Amino acid sequence: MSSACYRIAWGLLLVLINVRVGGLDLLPDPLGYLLAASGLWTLSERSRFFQAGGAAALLLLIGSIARMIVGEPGTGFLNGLPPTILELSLRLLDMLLSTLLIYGICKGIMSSFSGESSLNIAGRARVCLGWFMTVQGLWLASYPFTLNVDQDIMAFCLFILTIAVMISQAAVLLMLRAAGRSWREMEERK
Amino acid sequence: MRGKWYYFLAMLLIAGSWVGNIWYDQANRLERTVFLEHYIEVIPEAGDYFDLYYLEDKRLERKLIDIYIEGYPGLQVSPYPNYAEYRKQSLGKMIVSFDSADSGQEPPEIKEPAVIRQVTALYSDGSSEKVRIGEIHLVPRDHVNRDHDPIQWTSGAGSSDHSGYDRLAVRRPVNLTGLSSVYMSMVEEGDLLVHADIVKRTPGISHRSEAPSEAEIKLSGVPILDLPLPVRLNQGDSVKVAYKFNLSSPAKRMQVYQLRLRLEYADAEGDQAPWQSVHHFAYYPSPTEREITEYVRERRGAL
Repeated sequence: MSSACYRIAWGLLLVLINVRVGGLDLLPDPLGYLLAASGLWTLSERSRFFQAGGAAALLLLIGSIARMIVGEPGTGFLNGLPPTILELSLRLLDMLLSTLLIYGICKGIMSSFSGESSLNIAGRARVCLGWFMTVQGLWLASYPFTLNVDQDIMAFCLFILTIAVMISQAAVLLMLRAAGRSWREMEERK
Repeated sequence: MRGKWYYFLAMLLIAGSWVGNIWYDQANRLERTVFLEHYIEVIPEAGDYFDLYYLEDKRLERKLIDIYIEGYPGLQVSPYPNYAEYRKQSLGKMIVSFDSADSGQEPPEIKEPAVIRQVTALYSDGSSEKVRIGEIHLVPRDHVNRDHDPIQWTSGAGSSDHSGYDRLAVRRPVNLTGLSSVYMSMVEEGDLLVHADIVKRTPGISHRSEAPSEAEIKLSGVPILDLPLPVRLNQGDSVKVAYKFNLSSPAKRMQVYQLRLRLEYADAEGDQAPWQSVHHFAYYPSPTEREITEYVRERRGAL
């Protein structure tokens, strides 16, 4: 279980970090989603939330492979053009699946550690989830304004919210690491 | 239970933001290229031109790339697709000139007045359609005798507030006998204010910069329609014709106006042919984002 936790954490880290050399992503997102899906699959027996997160990771894996093959949809917003409905829909789907992934992870950890009070992992997972859902919700509510509000203003707002989302995801990573360590200790005690 | 309400409200907010923004976006898009309404007067000879303005969605796949005016194959058309950029639309223009085209094709020789009301629009997907653009009056000049002009243009200016002036020097005695334009009704209705100043100048010092003395002023700020015609102009006199567009309604401010006001002169001694000076007055819209939004909604209703 601890290794599954670490796999999920490594997977999220790979998705979070983009290292591009000459347009090539050295830490490709599909690898990250694959690791996360594999970890969540291992934990799926413990909680249905892990199952939901695993399904989201699998769909994100398919989406990221499709993006690698077909290419990113022309992000009009970044080109100074208003985004199309198709671009918005794909973005919405991606964001909803990412939300489900983090939601599944945090709720799964909360339910798995609900009886354990020593390290308060469940409490950390609850705080991480609350923080993530708040900023992700703000991001989701703000993004469609790119259609109608001045692009400079929206670029600034979305940049701030993206930083906030990344910080919340980093907090989830650290929480996963703590959960993995806790599980390892429990396994060693047994 | 509290948590569930919180999530429900958050989802409601997100869904409302998406539905509202997509609805507002769709309500402010143009599904096809639209031409503004033009009221243009032009002299169909080398050096003169007119601009046809159109509004197009930035995301539209079928873009206007060229126009063709039936019956006038030699006209030179220069596209200027991004004349002004707005959030969702671009205001572009097609500059149509009577100069010789690069292709070597000669511009048409137009001797009789004519009116163009529609052009053929050519699109990026290979399709074409006839579109109404308002009215373009081709008004050939009656008297072309530039070697012996009694009136010499000396300076002129135009401003972004849709005003401007022409200053003329009188080279030999003439009588200003009349004025004409296809759109004189704009002057009569007050949409275009035109005033004339006539200052007496001593020959040889007519270009000095000081303000004229009262004794030198023959007419000052006289509305062009109130000129006591015929007006005698002596050699060395200076004539200033100033204009300002005064379009009150938002609909008119989104239209394009171009006038060629002709002042007609007769030789004071009566031994020369009559002559005209032509003054270029133009109003090109420069709408704000809000005006564009209102115009798009109005045109969507009409499409």
